[in-house]
Amino acid sequence: MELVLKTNNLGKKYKNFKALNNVNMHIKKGAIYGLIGKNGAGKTTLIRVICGLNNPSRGSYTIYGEDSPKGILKARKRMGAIIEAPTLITSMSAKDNLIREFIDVGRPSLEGLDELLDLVKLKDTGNKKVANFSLGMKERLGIALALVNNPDFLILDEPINGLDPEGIVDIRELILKLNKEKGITVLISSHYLDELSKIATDYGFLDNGEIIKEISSTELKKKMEHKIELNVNDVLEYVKYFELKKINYEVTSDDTIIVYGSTLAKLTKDLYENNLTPNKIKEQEETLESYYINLIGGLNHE
Amino acid sequence: MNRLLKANFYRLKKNKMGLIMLIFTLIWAFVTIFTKYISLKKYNSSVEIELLIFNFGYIFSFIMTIFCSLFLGDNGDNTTRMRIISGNKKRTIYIANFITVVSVILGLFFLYTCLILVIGIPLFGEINIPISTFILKLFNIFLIIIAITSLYTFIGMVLSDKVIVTVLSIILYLVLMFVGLLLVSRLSETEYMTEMVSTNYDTHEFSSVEVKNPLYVPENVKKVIRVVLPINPFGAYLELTQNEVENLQILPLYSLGIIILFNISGLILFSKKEFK
Repeated sequence: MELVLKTNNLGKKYKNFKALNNVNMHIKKGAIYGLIGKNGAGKTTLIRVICGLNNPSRGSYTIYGEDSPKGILKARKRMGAIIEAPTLITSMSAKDNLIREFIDVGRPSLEGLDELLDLVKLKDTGNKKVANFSLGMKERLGIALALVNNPDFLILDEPINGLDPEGIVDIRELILKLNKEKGITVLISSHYLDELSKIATDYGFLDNGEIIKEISSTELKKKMEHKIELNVNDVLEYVKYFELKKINYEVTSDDTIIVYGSTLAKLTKDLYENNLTPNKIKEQEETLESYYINLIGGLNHE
Repeated sequence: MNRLLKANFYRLKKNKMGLIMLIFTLIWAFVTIFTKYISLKKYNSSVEIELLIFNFGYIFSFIMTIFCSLFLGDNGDNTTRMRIISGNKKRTIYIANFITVVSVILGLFFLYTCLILVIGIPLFGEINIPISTFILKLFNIFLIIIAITSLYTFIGMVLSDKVIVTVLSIILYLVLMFVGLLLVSRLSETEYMTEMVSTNYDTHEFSSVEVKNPLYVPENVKKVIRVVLPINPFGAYLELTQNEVENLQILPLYSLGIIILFNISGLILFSKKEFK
C-alpha cells in the first residue's frame, strides 16, 4: 500500500514545551485522513512541520517516500495546503488571486483557471474584491489556491471553522469531489467530529502531541455498531442460546455479553420467552465523539 | 526564481503600489524642473543639474522606506508560507523579494535621472562637474540605494509583523538620517567662526571677531568620522551629495560590505525562521 505521508517518531519542542512527541502517522494514497485532537493537542504544529514551515526537533518524515531535504522539496510541489486561514490578497479579485498563484507556481499558461473557479463555485464573482467575500467563499478560494499546482495531496487545517451550515456542506462536497474525481489524498484536521465522520476514510487521534490511535473508518464503524450490553449470572446459558439463534455476540467478561445487530425490544422479548433474565440490560450506540472521548479519557486515566 | 519574480511584479501591478511610486517619481521630476525653470527665468538663478538628481535621494529614501516595508511586510509570511508549502527554497524566496524591491527602486531612480537629464540639459545647460565624477557619484548612489534596500529587506523578511516592520523601518530611517546629518554637519564646521561684536552701542557700530567654534571637531576626529560615516548608508549618501568626497573609489566598498552583510545574515536568519 503506497503511503503519501509517513512520520517516524516526529517531535517538536518549543523551549521546555513538547508540542509533538514521537508522532507516528501513516496516510495512505487516496485516503481522506481525519486528524482529530483537542485544542493544543498539536494538530497545527504537526501540519506546519509536514509543510516545512517549522523544523522538527527530532524524528523524520517521508512524503511520497522521499525523506531527503531535496526529495521532500520536490515532493512538496505535489502538495497543497491551507493552514488555519487561507492566504488571500483581499484587495484583489478571486481571479487575480488565482492568476498570481498560477505565476507563483510556474504554470506556463492560465489554462484551467476558469475550471478551478467553477469547481469552487466562484466563477460568477467577477471583479468583486476578496475583502467583500463571505467566510465560506474565502475558504473555497483558499482551496482553489491550494489546488493551483495540481496537487495530489491536500492538507486542510480546520477548513470549516466559523462556517455556516451551507458553507460546511459546500466544503464537504468539494473535498469529496476532489477525493473521488481527482484522486486527491486529503489530510483534514477538524474539531467538528460529526462532520469529519461523514467524509473521512481514516482517522488519527492526537493527544498531548502524540498519535494515540490510527484507525480506518471501516474498523471504526464496526466499533461504533449498535450494541446491547447484558449483565448475566450464567454466561454459558446465553452463549448456547445466541449460538442456536445465530445472533452476533461477544463475551467481554465473566458476567458481560455484548450483542450486536438486534434491537432492545426484540432481544428483551426473545430472552424472556426463553426464560433468560439478565440482571441488567443496556443499549449502547457509540459515535465518533464518544469513541474519541473514551479514547482520550481512557488514556488520561491510565 | 523567475516565476517568483514574475508573481511579485504581478502583485505590484495589481495592488497599484508600483504605479503610485511611478506617478510620484514623474510628478516630482516635472515639478522640480518646472520650479527651477521659473526661478531661472524670474531671478536668473543658476541651476546645478547634478544637484537636482542627487538631492532627490532625500525624499526618495523616505518613499523607499515606506515601499519596502509595505511590500515586504505585505508579501511576508502569508505568501511566503504558500511558497514554502509548494516546494520553494527559503533562499530563493528571500532573493526574489530582494531583487523585486531593488529593481523597482533603482528603476525609478534611473527614470528620474533620465528625465532630469533629458529635459534639464536643454533648459539649464550641461552638468557642472566632470562627467567621470558625475558617473562615479551616480554609481555610488545606486550602490547606496541597494545597501539601504538590503537593510529593509533584512527587516521585512526576518520579522513577521507588518506593523512592526513598517514602524521599525521608519524609525531606522529617522535615526540613520539624523546621525548622518549630525556627523556631516560636524565635518563641515570650521575651527573659528566670525562673531559680530558691538563696538559702540550708541552708534550701533559692530566689528567682526574670530572666536573658537564650539562645534568644531579636531582633524584627527574628523578623519575617524570620515571612515565611520559611510557605514551608515544615509551618512554615505549625505557625504556624497553635500561634501567634496575624496574617497569616491573606496565608498562603493562600504555599500558592498553592507549589501553582503545584511543579505547573508538575512538569508541565514530567514532559513531558520519558523512560520505560523
